[in-house]
Amino acid sequence: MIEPSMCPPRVWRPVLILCCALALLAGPAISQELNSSKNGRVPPPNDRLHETVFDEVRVTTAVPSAAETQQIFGANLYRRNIQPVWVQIENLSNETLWFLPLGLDEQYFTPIETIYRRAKRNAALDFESVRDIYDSSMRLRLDAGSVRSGYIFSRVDEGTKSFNVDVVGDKGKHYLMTFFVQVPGLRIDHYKVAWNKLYTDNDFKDVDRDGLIAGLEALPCCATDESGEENADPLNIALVGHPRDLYYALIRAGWDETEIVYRTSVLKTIASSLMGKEYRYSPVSSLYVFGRAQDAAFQKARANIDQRNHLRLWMTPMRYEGKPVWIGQISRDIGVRLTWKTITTHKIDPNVDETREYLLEDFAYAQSLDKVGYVKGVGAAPYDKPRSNLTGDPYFTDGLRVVLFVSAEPSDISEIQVLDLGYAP
Amino acid sequence: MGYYARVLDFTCMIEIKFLSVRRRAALFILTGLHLLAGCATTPFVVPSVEQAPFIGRAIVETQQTVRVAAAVPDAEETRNLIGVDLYAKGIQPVWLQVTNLGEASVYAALHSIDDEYFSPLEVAWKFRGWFSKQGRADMERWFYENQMPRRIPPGETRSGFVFTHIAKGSKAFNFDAYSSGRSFNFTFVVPMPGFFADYMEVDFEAVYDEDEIRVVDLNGLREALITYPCCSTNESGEAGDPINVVVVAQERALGLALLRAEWEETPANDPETAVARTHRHLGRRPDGTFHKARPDGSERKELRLWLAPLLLGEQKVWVGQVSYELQRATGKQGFKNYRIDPEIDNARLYLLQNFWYTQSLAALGYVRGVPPATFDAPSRNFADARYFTDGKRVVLFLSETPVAMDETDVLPWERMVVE
Repeated sequence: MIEPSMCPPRVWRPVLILCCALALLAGPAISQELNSSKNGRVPPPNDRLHETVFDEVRVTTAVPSAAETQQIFGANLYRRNIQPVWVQIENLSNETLWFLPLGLDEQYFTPIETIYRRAKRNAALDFESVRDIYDSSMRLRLDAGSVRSGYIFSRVDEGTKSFNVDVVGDKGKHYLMTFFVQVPGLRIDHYKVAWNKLYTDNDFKDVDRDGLIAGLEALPCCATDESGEENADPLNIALVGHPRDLYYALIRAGWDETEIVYRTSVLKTIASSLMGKEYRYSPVSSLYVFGRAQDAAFQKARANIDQRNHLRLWMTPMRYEGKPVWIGQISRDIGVRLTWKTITTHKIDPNVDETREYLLEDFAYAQSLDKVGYVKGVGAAPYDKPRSNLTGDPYFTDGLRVVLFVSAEPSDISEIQVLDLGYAP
Repeated sequence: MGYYARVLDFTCMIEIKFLSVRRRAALFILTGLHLLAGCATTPFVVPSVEQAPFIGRAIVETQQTVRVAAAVPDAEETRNLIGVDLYAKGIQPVWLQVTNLGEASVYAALHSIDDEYFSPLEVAWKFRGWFSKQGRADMERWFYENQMPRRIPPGETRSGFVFTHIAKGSKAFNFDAYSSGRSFNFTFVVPMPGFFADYMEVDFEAVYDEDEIRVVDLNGLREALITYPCCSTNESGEAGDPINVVVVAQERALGLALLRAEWEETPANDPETAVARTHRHLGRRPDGTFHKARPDGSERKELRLWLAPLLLGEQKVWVGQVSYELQRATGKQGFKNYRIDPEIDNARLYLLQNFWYTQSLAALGYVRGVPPATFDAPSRNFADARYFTDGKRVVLFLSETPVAMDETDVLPWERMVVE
């Protein structure tokens, strides 16, 4: 499916940019609270704390929003692609432990790099001015019985941020903890969906393997427009998994959530068009299955402005091994083309099977794939006789749906079971 | 012809910013006219991959029941083969041939080579304006039919291209294949013709006479490193940056570790390494300088390495320095400010984690050897850049084969982190 490109992709949290320009004039003065950090303890930025205990290590984290960051650090760090993450680690063991910031973000910023970006990258670095952020940063050594807290500076994620907190012992013991933290400021589509109210208990149908195959093959070939009369893109993705596992798998694989259409998201989209910057969470158009628009949409931006993948998901009334079954559609934007209707639109890769396989591998490398198999249901469209979606983009396909069984626990690529559900691509 | 392609590219790719709807429409019509008037009559000549000279350089590796051959054409070979300049668009084709010697289907995971690989028709789309109508159709079909297929049935061989992001210098990549319940994992390092990294110009066998080299055991290494010179110097002998990194590895293990950790090689006499070359040690410039840039900014990390006159048993010992740098900092101010982060231990810690997380680290240890300096009383190098440090060197023992993170030995020398 296409996104009208009056609103091309690419803006980072732009509305805040306007606000912060004013705030920057006031000068980067760090809040008083941070200066109480001499004992290795820095107070949390908010009360949205997330806590995990792993053996003898207790970790608490909190992520300040753009506005909170502005208040604490006296600068709009989000605009510089820096998102502070507050981490508190309690070492309940009797050995010294070390915190490894690389696990939190492989591109983490050092405190002084953060200052450098705060100073807009051009000022000669004033050595004395780095003290505040330096003091607020998380120290890495965790003595037995001690508690330490502070900030690690990561790249920005809005919506849901996922990160690891990795701690190691002197003898090489590892403590790995994963966090999913919602960062306020966006209106994400699926936050509003009441998953347990989509269907009543009577609607739900528990299916066995044959029932799953038959049920999936009986679903319509394609999503439609609102009237249900015109076929849109093919429904070539089926997923089996609890909403939470699915959602975490997608976030782990680097997919971004999608904002609903409202004033701010529209303004951000326009701003992105004007400034040519990235808006990772831009609203997407609605497609319909079961008479309703997608329950959730995700998008994954790649390096270039025109390169983005879109994924739309609907929960079906089927349950397999107690887990909901989902149907979905994925498309890969490969460029921009001109149209009479909307001037420009995103051109999608007509080889929708290739995009389908991309998603399979994306789940595999996010360690989220247990089993995989194929069923029919889309209907084949050969290379030389392509079908087309709502905006006239042609596509061709072998007609299969991939069925991805999402794992709740990390699963290595060597553990994936390839099932024979009747078809192979 | 190229002009019209570029006009179309321009209008499409930069998204016609700053234009009103009416002007966009005008531009649209204009572009349409350009295309009609354009002489896009070039046919697409279907390449013959099997005869291409670069296939002769294929590297072959076998794991249990899967055999993989990999080859990478350079920019010119790609142009000669396909007739379009993929490299100019940042795309580097990787040719694979996979033979399945087992009894179950094997699946190639293209994602393992480049998690943001280009799809074949995405590549074709970038060159849509270069050919006649028939030529474009032929080109699209060629790209579609020549992607590396994902499924390799038992007993069969499949080959094709994966379209990856361009690498400067040697092309290093992982390749995974899997079948139900098992996987086959490969790492390839493919040298590219015509690219000469700085270290390729050093004759490592001739750097030292045999009697200059000290052979030490682990304890001897520790002693030697504690008394090793603190810093590099400039030509007139003033102290430069501390030598805070020691790597124990043969060339191949070091090369693989750097490539797995996504450090980039630099060509000899690259203007980007002008600052690096002001640092002398053992009477010479760094034997190898490596860069790792941030994807979202101009800052980068720089690693400078020299082969030391030490051997741990048969293992080579490299000494060096790592720091956060500001790209393209030149001139007097540049010299003062090129180092972004005066807390140079941060870069040392980064390098340690970088090798650890990319599974290259067999063991690690810390030794003393650099005079400590504090935030409030920093040291200065010959370019007047300030720095502070806990005074330690990290010693990294690299492994050629992957080491799971919890299998890395931590040597009971100095403590890993002071604070």
